[in-house]
Amino acid sequence: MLAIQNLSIRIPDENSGRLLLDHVGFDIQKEEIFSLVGGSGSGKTTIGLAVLRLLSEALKMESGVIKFEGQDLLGFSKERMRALRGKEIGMVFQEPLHAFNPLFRVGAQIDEVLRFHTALSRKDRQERVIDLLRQVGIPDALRVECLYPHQLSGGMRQRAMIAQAIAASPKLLIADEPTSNLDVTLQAKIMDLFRKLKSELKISILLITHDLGLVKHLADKIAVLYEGKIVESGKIQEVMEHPKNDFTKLLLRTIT
Amino acid sequence: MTKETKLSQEGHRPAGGGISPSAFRNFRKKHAAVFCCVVLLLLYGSALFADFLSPYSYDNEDRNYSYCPPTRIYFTDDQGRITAPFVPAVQLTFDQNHQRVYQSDRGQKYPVRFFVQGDSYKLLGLIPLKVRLFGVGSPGRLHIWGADSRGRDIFSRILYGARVSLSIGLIGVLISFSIGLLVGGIAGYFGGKIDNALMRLCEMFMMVPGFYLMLALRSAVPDDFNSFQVYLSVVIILSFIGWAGLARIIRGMSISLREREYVLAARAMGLSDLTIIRRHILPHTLSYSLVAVMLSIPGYILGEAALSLIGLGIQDPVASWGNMLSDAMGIVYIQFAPWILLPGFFIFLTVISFNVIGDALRDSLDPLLRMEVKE
Repeated sequence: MLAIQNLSIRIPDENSGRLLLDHVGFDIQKEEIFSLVGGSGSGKTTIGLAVLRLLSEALKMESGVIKFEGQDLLGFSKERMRALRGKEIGMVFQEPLHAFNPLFRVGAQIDEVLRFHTALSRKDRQERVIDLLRQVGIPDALRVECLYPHQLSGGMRQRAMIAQAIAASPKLLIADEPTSNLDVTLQAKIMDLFRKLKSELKISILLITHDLGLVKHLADKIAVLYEGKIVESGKIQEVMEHPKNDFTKLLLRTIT
Repeated sequence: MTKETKLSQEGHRPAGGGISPSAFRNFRKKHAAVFCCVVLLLLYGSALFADFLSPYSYDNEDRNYSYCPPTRIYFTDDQGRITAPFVPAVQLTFDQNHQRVYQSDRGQKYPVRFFVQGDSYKLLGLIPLKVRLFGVGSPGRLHIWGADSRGRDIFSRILYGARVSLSIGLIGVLISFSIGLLVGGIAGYFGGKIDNALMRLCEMFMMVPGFYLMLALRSAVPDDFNSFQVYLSVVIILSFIGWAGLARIIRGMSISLREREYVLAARAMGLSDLTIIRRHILPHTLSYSLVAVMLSIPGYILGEAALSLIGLGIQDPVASWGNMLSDAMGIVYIQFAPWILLPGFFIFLTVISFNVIGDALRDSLDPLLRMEVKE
């Protein structure tokens, strides 16, 4: 489904700069939750943005192939790339309070995605927004739809954000630290939601996190990122039971 | 001001466009600004219903009443008995210095009436009517604020002139702010070469002093335009001057706004660049733009007045406050017929009202903004 090979990204400066990602590569299969685990500054978020080709202009992609369903994303035109964002690949951001525009109602912002990527009529879109909100576990969707982002609780906001990301039924969902600002019980609930979405919508999820404990029961596969390099990857049980890398061992020790 | 009123009604939820209900409350506390709002509403209202409120049409002239002073309305006849209000017949003569002297003859009475038949017009451009709020029967004439050189009623012409002078500010601001917001938004959002090109263009416009640019553009407009075409060209010329400064400020704001995470999120959602600029960048500049709009409307009104004053704007017989003032360019006329300066008073009133409202808006919208706008 999504294949990344040999991806290197550099922060250029006067000298040679710093290598943010160093020949990173992994594959995500259909209907699979793939977790990318790494510490702060290891380049996790950069990978997510690179897939959508939304890297900041200050970063330089030195090498790499990003293939989505066999197509080379780096060769896409701007227009084609835009049509793909949201429609084929959805993204959930770390801090939904900042990822929603504070000036518009939540419902309107989900509707915006539908307007761009579907041919639904205004009325159908409205119904779809309600459905989406219910789907992500917001029972009083009719009320929430009319609220502004700051009026929602953290958990609700994150659910609404996920509703927005899956609005146009993407095949791949990139979730960038989706729970790092939530408390532990909410984290677990959001993880349950991801599991439910995976089975209901038959989508793949790239789950980017620093918290190995969060994904150990959820992810199918895992890759551990350390200072821009993938130091270990494989099926989650294998990595959990027989970690080879010191950093992975360190991560494992923090969760037991 | 309708926007504010609307916001107050939906005060229970946070308003869109970066204007909070508390900003509205703050604004309400500024009595001078509220008063100015009322003044402007009255002015715009009377401009709208100028046909009905004025006793004469803007081009109704009578040379026998040239520079006629404001007509006195009498409530008593020459024997001191109380009667219905009337205006006397007026006779124009010249004294030994060849100055105009108007002698009134209270024996000849023309009663002042409400809802009299006058010049025909179309109310709001739709309903053909002849009835006017007040007036006197022909051949008497009622000039409550005097008459101009051709014996046209100043009061009526001020009302008709308000249509031109007041609407030019609004339409001009609408055009130039649309351009300014769009150019600034695009320049700031895309950055790089586009930014560079657009900003250099802005600087070209800002480089030329406004008034000379106005004259230069006006000279490019053909002379044989009818009054409506002249009106349009004046509006467009004025709009051409104001947008550049705004575009630069909006560009600066949009450079900082494009770094917000919701802009990145919108891009990740696959929204088009123009939609992102329109929905996720420009609305966040609203509290600044609203103040800037209020503070720049006077510029358009004064610009029109300046153009019309030197005869390049709205052409006679169509009235605008600017071209009415061109009558008052000689000291002699001001000395003997000071009432022809009245349009100037209305320009002053309008300009100061917009400024007071703009200041109050700035203070009440955002305390942080105060420093930004003042410069």
